[in-house]
Amino acid sequence: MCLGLRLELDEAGLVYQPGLPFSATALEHVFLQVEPGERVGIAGPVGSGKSSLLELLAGITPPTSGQVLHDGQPVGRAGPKPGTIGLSFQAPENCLFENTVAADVAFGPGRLGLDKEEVARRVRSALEATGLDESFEQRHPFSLSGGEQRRVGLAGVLALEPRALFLDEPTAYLDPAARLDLIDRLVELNEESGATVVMVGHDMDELSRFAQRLLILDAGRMVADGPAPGLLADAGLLRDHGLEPPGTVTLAGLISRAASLPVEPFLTEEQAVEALARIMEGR
Amino acid sequence: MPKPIVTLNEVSYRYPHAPGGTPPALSNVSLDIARGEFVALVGANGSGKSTLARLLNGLIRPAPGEALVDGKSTADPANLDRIRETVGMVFQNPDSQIVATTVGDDIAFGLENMGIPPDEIERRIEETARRFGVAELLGREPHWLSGGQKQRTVLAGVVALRPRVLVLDEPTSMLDSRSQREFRELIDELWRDGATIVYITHLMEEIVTAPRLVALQDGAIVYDGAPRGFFSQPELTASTGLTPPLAVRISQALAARGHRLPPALSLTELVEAVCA
Repeated sequence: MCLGLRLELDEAGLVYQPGLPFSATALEHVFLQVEPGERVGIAGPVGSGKSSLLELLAGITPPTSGQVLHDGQPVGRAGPKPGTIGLSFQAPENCLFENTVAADVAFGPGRLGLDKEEVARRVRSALEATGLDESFEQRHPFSLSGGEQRRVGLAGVLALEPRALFLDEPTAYLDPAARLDLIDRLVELNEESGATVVMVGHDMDELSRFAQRLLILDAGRMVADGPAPGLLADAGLLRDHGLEPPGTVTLAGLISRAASLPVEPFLTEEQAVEALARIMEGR
Repeated sequence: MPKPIVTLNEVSYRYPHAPGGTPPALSNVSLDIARGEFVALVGANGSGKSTLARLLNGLIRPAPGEALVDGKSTADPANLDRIRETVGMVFQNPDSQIVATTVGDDIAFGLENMGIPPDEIERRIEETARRFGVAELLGREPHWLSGGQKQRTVLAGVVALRPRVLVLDEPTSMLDSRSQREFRELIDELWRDGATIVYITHLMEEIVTAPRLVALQDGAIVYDGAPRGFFSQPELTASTGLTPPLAVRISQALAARGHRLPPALSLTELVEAVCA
């Protein structure tokens, strides 16, 4: 059981290339506290600052104003304490470099001073979590498809078993069955290990399955922060910020208009089936 | 049947570095795509989608089998320039396709290589940049753009070359849902203007509206036809690693509970079926 990391942004802001002609503000003064073990989703339109916020929280990109704290301690320019965080960039397959899948996934945990058996256990369990069976272990990463490479990249981060895990659109390029599976594994991992997990996503259905708490960004500003179910059910709020509500929320709107009767709002698929079954039975 | 613009004739492909025992990425695939068709290409990770895409403009050559573009074989190097003018590719990862130091220069890159006159280049950059929502970004360095902005930049650079066939490998995977829909509308517009589209995607909502769906599994075609037929076979859908769209899942769950309703592909169809 590892204890999750507490994350804090104290009026943190980020300007790329400050003072230069190409200067661009990525994030403006964000105050944020993430409790140990929370599962936080970050949503927002293209270019709204999602990846920047993730990198600030992870402590790998120093803010240009304000500060970032991990467990109440300011993160210095040297970055977070080794072994505390794991971060998967948008395209983790770009970080593959070893000759076999197993060696690539073992690279991170192999540098944490763990014994061989422990490293091997973590490699196996991380590959399992990303849906890659043993036949992949001795293959060359570049002989794999794009989606499979992505899973290897992610496995390398999971194998660190960090106290806080940061994921930037981890499901992009995965096939639909693998997406849901990965989301469920992340939830499981969070519940079992107690690690803090922060995920940037653009699929509201996935965020609804993953997040307890949701942050919505728009043009570098945090425009909403609250329990995920409430925010995800707020179709108006989501649309105002260039986001599509989850399919179930859209369905609830369509059905209450078409059936011209009030339908209790629903968010999960099971609730949707229940609500529709009741309408069909009531006819 | 109109003359196909792309033909794959019993093609197989095995990557040169694949260790012994690895199954071929594609085996014995035959496919005709007619001028002006819209084909959605789907399948699990590792099913051979990207390999098939790379065969279409001669980036890799089938062995055995042949790939023809507008009647010309990709096996003959003398045809390749022509073939690559005909078939434009948008790859999975925009970083692998951006070459220049500003968005404008990146869109200009292909045009310059094709020997288009400078004032025509200017005109096309402006037109495509506006169309793909990157007009404000022309002076920016691609390195600092978001993933989605990069994907639009790449699409603008490819469409500016006016290819007759556009092969898109998961082009919306980094876009938010509204931009995804806008992007898909742009592709539909290009299709209505006469382009042939081969669209690789994992997003079910993008698949249901496609006129033709080709599903790959372990390097072979397991379905070729209308999306409705594909999703009415839950076992086939599941075996290809795809999850049916929300409307299909809900109507199947209702059917399993004894509610009789016509199968719905979209939420609108589902609402009609329930309220009928």
